[in-house]
Amino acid sequence: MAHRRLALLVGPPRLLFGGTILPTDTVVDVPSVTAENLTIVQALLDASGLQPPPEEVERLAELYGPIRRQLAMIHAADVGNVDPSNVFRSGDIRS
Amino acid sequence: MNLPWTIATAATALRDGETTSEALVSSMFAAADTLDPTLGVYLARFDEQALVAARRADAELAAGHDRGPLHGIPIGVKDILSTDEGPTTCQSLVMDSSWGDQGDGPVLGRLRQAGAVIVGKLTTMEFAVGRPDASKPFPLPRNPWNPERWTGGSSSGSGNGVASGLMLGALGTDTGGSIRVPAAYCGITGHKPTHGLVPKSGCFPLGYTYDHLGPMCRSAWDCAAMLNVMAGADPTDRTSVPSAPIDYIAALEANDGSLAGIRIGILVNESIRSHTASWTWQAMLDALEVLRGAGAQTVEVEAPLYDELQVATFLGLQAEGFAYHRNWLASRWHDYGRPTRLTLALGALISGGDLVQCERVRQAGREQIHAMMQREQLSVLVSPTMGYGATHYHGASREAISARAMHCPVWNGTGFPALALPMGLDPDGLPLSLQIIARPFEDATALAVGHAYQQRTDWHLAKAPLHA
Repeated sequence: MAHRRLALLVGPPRLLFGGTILPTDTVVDVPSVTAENLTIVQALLDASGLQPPPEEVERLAELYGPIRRQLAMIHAADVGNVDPSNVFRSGDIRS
Repeated sequence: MNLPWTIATAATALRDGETTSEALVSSMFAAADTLDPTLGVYLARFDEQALVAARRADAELAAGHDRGPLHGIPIGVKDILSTDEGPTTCQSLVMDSSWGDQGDGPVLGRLRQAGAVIVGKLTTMEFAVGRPDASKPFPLPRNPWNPERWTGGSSSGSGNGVASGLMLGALGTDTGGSIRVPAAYCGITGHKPTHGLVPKSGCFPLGYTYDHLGPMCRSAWDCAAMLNVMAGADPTDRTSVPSAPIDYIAALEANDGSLAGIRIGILVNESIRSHTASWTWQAMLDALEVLRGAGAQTVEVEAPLYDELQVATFLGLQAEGFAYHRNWLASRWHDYGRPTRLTLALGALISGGDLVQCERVRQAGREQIHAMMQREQLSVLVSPTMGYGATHYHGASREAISARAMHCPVWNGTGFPALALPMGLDPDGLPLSLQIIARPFEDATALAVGHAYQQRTDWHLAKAPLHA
């Protein structure tokens, strides 16, 4: 049930990521929504106790496609045997 | 009265008897009466307390008690930082106002000890992650260069407050670029310190391991004056790092503006170049010519794992933000602004394993970039801060509002210090910004390079049309 569409955003600007807005009146290529992504997103939101209205669940499912691609990118990164545990403990990044 | 433009000139004027702190603060409040309804700088003004502090500062200076460059200087505070005057709203209806009852954090306390006059709490985006939201009962921050353009965020009021001359310095916070983006859009200088250099206590968290407090001012010298006071570990923040104090002003003045021996790496990663306007890139090349004229050497380099770091930083900060907001999102979904709740809820879609991989990418990227700087003997790296000038509120180009046009987040993910400073104007007459990145805990080097540039140019003194 994948589909793509062009939309004319009206009303308030949408946020892409922290600090960056997608303003109104901008024609954008809306990411595809798949039934699979919609199902996964609904389940993850349920598991966290979140109850957005259906149109916002759909918007999160739209964004989940790019997130899955981003997650694939970082899992494919060559990070060798890096141990990240000091990230969580000390702010000292000199070593 | 002609108000001083910088902390440096104001400090001189105060000591020469050309003005007083009370006159300075009063004049800036009077200017805010006129400009703030358009610009949306303040969420709360502390007129009474500020004037008391200003008179005290004047009395101390008259008595020969000089607390240093910030003595009597008007400073604003982003409203996700707790202050004695309170309240703290985080520009949200969800925020529990009692959170701000803790009063000053260590950085606010240090600024007051240095004689700074805290003039009020400044606009942001909801919890530092939303966006300008006309549906909520808060001011919309607007750019003093053109009120139809955005200030950038999330330290929006810190950016437009300094740029419009309503204060001489401001405290901002930066989780993915929130000091550097408004500094870039509003044409001022902002510094994101090394992670761990400035304690975060008293700051409402967005991404625990990505958050930084930093100064926003007209110049690198002014940022150094604020960092002198702000830097240093505090036991209330165990991620802050004990280290020997550094006099950042002395460090940037040490070589009399010469950059002999400084080697600059120009970041030419494809994802930076392809998300930067041609005029922005040219402005950076012009800035590099100035730096070479000051004695620096330059070389083109690519930062390893740059794209992965950009992605890992966004994903990680969403996961960390979600951890804080999860219970409120479950019970008060509709009290959040729509963009805020959607962005934070994205954190629910990232697994524990994904988050650990984000941290591995951060650690690997940090090590590899550090190694590259050592191998190439680089003192600093440079890139544009943003690919484009300030975006329209309505009808901006897709390229300009893309998250990929932000060249800031990687330095939150790695914790490296990054200075943003004005380097020209775009074809619409809006500020463009250069980003100077140094090795961890070598903030003084970034500030010294910025200072050398600002000794040879006057972009940092360019006056916005809406100005006190």
